[in-house]
Amino acid sequence: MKNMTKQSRWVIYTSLFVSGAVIFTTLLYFFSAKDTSEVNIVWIMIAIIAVALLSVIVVFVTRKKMRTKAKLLNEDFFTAYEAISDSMEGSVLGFFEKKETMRDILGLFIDAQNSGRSAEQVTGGNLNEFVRRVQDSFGYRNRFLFTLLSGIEYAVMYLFMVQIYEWVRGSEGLGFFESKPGYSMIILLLPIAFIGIPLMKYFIRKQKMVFAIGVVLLIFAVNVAFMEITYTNFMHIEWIRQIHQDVFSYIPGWGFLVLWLCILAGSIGIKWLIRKKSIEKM
Amino acid sequence: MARDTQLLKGLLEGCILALLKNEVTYGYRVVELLSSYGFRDPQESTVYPILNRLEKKGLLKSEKRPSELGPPRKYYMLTAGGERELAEFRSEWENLKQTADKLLEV
Repeated sequence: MKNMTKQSRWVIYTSLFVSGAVIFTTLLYFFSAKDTSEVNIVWIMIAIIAVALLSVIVVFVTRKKMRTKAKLLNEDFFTAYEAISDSMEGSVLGFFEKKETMRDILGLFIDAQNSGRSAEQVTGGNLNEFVRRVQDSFGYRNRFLFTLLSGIEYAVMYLFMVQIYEWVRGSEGLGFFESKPGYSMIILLLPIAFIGIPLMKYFIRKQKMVFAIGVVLLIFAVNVAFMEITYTNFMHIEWIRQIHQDVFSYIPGWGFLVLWLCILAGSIGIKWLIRKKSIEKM
Repeated sequence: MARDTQLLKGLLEGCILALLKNEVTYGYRVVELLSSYGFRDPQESTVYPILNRLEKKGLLKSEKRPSELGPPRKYYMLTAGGERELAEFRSEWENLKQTADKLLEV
């Protein structure tokens, strides 16, 4: 940790905090639910804790690797390189596009450094603007539409994950299609997919990590408050009661499975088409 | 000056194509060449997105070549589409220049 930049240390501490919070709530849930008939709960808890710990290790190794990869950069250029890399994480660029861009930027920075230029001269002092231009050059100009389509993809993936979780957790030998998570998860996951993640990415792009984490925590807090308040005071209202009590399957059969997959593929396809058109027009 | 910036943005793309017609080269060298031709303080943060955009449009192609300074460099070269685009740019620029010259003489 000693030879890491302030930014790297901050990212690692943040991942430790998030991971700790996940483990803490998981254990809380485990001790409150251990007497129920959910036989697979122990394995699910172990899996969640393992993923939380693994994510901290991945963050630590990634930061170390970044420094090794960019070892030829001096402190000034590495700080800019690291900030661009973090900002890229909040962009709509795909994994390989980010990798390609960071490789190109590393080469550019090394050349500029050897020519005696400063990082500020190279980036123009505005890293966010630079990342925005790079993003545009890949054809991601209509960010609102891309955010909306990404929200659909996240939402579909979350529905799958919750359905799988419910299926694994179930102790009555129910099949995958018969597992019924209900409305309560939907009112948590849809705001995360369409509001939480876009805002989180926005703050990551702006290098405001506290806000990035704060947004997700806020959505969880609002959800808990909503569920608690409505359960205590408003259960006489039909739709509130439905949210709390009604359960149904998100994927009740093969037809729905195909439908959700088509929506996912459709969203990816529309994104591809928009980008293609955007690149032609540039 | 803001007017300078606007004019430069339109010109830079055509000028980069012209540079790369004469020399297959890498991003930082493009910045140096622009500077040597009199562009005031061109920045990598402006040039790199343009190179990337031209490549995505199929006007440039790139290949990796080893560098003595660090990781392999990305060398850019014009495609047939890039040649056509450059020819169009030259003709448009010539017309624009003549029109502007006439106007400014008045």
